[in-house]
Amino acid sequence: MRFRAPLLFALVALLAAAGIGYYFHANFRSQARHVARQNLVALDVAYRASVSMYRLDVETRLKNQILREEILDLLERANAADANQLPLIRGLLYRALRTEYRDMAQAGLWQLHFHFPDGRSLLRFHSPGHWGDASLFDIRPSIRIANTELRPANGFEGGRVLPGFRNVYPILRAGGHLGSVEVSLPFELIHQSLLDLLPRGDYTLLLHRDTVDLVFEDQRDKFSPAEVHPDYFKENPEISHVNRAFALSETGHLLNAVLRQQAATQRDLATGDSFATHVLSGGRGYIASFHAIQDLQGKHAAYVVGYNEAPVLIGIRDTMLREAAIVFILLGALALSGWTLIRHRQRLADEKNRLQTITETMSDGLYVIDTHGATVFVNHAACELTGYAKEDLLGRIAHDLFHNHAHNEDQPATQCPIIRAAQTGDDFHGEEWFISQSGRSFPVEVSCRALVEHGSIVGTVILFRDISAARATLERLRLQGAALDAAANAIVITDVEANIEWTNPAFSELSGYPAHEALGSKPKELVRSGLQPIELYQNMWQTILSGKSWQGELINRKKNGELYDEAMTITPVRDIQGQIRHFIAIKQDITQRKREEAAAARAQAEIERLAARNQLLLNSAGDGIYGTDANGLCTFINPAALSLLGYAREEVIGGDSHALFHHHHADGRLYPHAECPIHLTQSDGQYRNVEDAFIRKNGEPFDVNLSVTPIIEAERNAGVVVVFQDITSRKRMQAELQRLATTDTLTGIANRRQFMRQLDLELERVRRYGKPAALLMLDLDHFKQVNDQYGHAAGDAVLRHFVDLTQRRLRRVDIFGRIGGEEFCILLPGTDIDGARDFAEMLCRQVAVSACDAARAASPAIHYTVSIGVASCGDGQRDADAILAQADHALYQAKTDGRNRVVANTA
Amino acid sequence: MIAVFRLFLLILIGPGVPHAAESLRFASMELESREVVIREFSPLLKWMEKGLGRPIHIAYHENYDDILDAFAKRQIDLAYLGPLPYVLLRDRYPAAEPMIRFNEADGGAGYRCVLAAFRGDAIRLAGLRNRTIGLTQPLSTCGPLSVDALLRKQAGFGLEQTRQRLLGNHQNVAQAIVGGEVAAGGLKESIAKKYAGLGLEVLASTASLPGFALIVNRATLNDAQVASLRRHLLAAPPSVYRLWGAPLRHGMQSAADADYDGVRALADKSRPVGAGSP
Repeated sequence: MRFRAPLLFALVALLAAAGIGYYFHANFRSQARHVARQNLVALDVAYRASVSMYRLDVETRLKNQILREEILDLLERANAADANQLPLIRGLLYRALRTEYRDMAQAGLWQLHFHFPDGRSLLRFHSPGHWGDASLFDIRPSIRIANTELRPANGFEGGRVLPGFRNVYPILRAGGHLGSVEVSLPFELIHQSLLDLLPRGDYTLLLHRDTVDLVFEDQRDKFSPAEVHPDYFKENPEISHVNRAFALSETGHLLNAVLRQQAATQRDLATGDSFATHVLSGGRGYIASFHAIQDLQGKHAAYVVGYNEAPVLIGIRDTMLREAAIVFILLGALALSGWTLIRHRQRLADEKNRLQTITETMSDGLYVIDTHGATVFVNHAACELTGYAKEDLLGRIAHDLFHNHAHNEDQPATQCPIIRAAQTGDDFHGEEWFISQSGRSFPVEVSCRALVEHGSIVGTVILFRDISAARATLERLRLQGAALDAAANAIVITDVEANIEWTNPAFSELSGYPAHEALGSKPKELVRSGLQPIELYQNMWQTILSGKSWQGELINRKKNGELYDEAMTITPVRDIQGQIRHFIAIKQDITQRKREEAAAARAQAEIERLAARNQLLLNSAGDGIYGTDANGLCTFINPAALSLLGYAREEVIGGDSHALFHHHHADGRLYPHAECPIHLTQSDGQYRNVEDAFIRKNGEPFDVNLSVTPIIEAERNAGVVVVFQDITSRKRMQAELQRLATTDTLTGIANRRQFMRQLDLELERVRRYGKPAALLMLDLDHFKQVNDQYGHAAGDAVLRHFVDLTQRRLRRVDIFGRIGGEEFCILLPGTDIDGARDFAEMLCRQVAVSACDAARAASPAIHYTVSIGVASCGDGQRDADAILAQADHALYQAKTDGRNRVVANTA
Repeated sequence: MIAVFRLFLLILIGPGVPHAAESLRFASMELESREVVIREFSPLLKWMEKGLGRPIHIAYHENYDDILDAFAKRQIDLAYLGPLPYVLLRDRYPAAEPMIRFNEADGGAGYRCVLAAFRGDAIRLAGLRNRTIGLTQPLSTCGPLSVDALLRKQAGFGLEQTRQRLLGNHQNVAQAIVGGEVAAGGLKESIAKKYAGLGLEVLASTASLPGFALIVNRATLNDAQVASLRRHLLAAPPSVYRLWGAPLRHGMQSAADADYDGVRALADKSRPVGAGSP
């Protein structure tokens, strides 16, 4: 409510200012429009005069210089010419008018163009290389009009090379129609004429997009978008700049930028109508006049734009501004007076309201009595404290209602200090007892002062405050003080300068300084040991001065020089304004705890040193080492183990080692967990050392030697430590030794020793199962001659050839061995003597027809034969030697019979 | 420390290399007119600006002599030159190097120079002795060099047995022939074809010569800049270069100095007429 008047006043003032501003603005715009219209009319007249002047010039030139008889003859020939003759005639026409064209071009009339009657281009003097295009009737109405209606066509129009101000005339001779001739005016001529007629202006031509679209593709770069509106193009300034001296001035560019932002100008440009507008920029006034140009079909094609400086606009504006300023000053003075009056009334109301608010919101009771003791004013707090409603107190004697003298030996009212102060006009300050309406007595602190009006005492203002809570607080503080005295932790209270203001007995006990010695000193003067870095104290002060608590541990020195550790918390205490006034430090003797912590730290350091050494040993060990917990989960693993297994540490730690790399045997069989030696040691706590295999991450098995050692903690199996070495190389070496011991190095088949071992085993199997078997003993015939004739290398090749040929015919179960130089044995399990003989004869034949050429590439192949003795193992009772002897006997028989044959011993 | 770094940069880049913020200077002989130069080269220059990240401006020169002089004085970084001007430039200024050759309208990498006359004048080569020949410029490939070679080969006499008239550019030569101001003239075959519709006919033509090329000044452009520019130009797709000026819109190929050996041989056999010739 109280703000409504100023707001209303401000609103009215603003509306008045806006109205006045609008009036002057509208007035200025009206006058500016008038000036603009004048400029537009001048531009229109000058433009029309320019075009007419050049039209007359063109017509004179055509009549007197161009359309001579000689030229008309050529045009007649051109109309009659075929495609072969036409270039020559076109060239002759060019040659005939070259001088005249040069004159015209120098005068700026450089677009001279002849057309056929059907609208095709005959010759462009301004672009002779462009010829042969189709009829121009569709895109050049002027040519169509001149050739179809046989009348001149004058006006602005687009074109294939350049839009221009066209002057197209039909060419007629003796009633015959020879085509048309065109002289177009480039804008630069109009421009120059406009400058002559309207000097001090700046002019440009804006072509509408539809006009530019007609131009040859390769001529489009002559135009660039106009800044003033997106639908218009101007001559490319780069090309204009090099071709002609004129170019739009800086002012023109500036005005275009301003006009682009004017919504009204943009709307007007879109309509295609003539218009003019004003621009104020840089402290100057301008008129931009847009003279619309229609093409020969009456369609909007371009604007001739004039930019003229108009100082009169500045004059009009300045006049308007002066008048507006005077009106605004008068209005302002009026508004200021009204505003001052409103503010004065407002201030009075505010002061009254403020006083009312103070008395009603103050926590102290306040009442006013007249000289008779009757209450004339009472505030809300007084009502609250006494328990009376305001209307119960006003007009009544306050003393009788709530002033209680029961604690003051029931003084009579006449001796009441408040009443006496009211009567004498003296001030009174003291403590009294009041009694509330409910009968509760409470102590109050009372201040009385006489109320003087016009030099006479008219009453007394009494201010009172219930001090029962303050008294209770005092008592509570006394109790808290006693509690602090009795606290076990040392407590020190200082001022902001760190001067000790209070200590409790525990501090004296901790430091050895009694309170009377400590007071007034600084703690650092008493107990600082000098063993802490100065940065600690700087940090402490920075923290507590920023209002935050600081906690830390210090080494201090007692009065007797003994050092002690203390944990201290310092808390800043702020006054009611938020200023730090005191610091409370609570100190605890932690000397014993620090000693225990130091001992624990030393023990921990020793543990870490040992752990680091163990880790170093683990990391540098060449053997793979890892450990598991009681559940078989990996707890540590060294780099050598990770390298051998191909895993990263994080892939193994926490994982089940058996599932990771011990899940299968090397031969691919599944490795049950229950059979795993590591698991067994985890179960029974027994040390194990075995050869086994692990599986690498890539699935490749490798042989290892495992040592599994249980970890016993608190008499329980807490896991195992596994140490393993990759013994793949060793195993491979063993296998190779084994192979060398059992294999014939030349042929790769079993040697005699191995063959005999296998023969014994197989005979045992034959005996056990009663299956038949047969033994072949084979000897290459005349092998010594092979060696003698071809050399031992050839002999070796023959042996390998024989073994290869034989092996390719054996089954997997057959056993083949070399038992002597050129002697071999074959055991055929499951084969009776007849079957063995058939096989032997087949082999014998194939050897005889084969030839070994492996050793002598440049010589004939070596042919050889074999003799074979066959013996049966069928009864299963005979031993290997007996069977060998029997086969040997049969072999001997084959040799005796002439070699290259098979003899079976059926005995 | 900063001075040492600057010195290092100077050694690394070379004193003549334009600063990254500076614009490159491009020059072309006016084939027809200055307007045509702007119209035809602006799209190409914009494409090169995009690749280099630097503006390129056109430095106008009236004749080949001026271009070659400016080039040798490091006032030009890039020039669009015909084969003869390049060969002459290279002879005197080894830092000139062909970067890109532009294909002709038929897609070929070369162009022809022709000796042309107006059909209505019924002129034959042998009849040109003591007649006036229109020429573009002294250093134009299609100028005295090729006209002299054509006359010697096909008419049996050299250019010194004719009168010459320097007309500035090819279009002027074509118009002067049709206009009857000269009996014949030397010009590019492509320009002659444009004026065939006005009765201009070719009397003789040279073998294919390497096309116009972009010549780079290696004294002002370093290896990386040239390589980058060449890459960017050769990467221009047909949809881009077809919008360039008429002589530039038929594709490009990388150029090398050896491409001009034939022109050098031609120049050695001919006796070009200087600018001061009648």
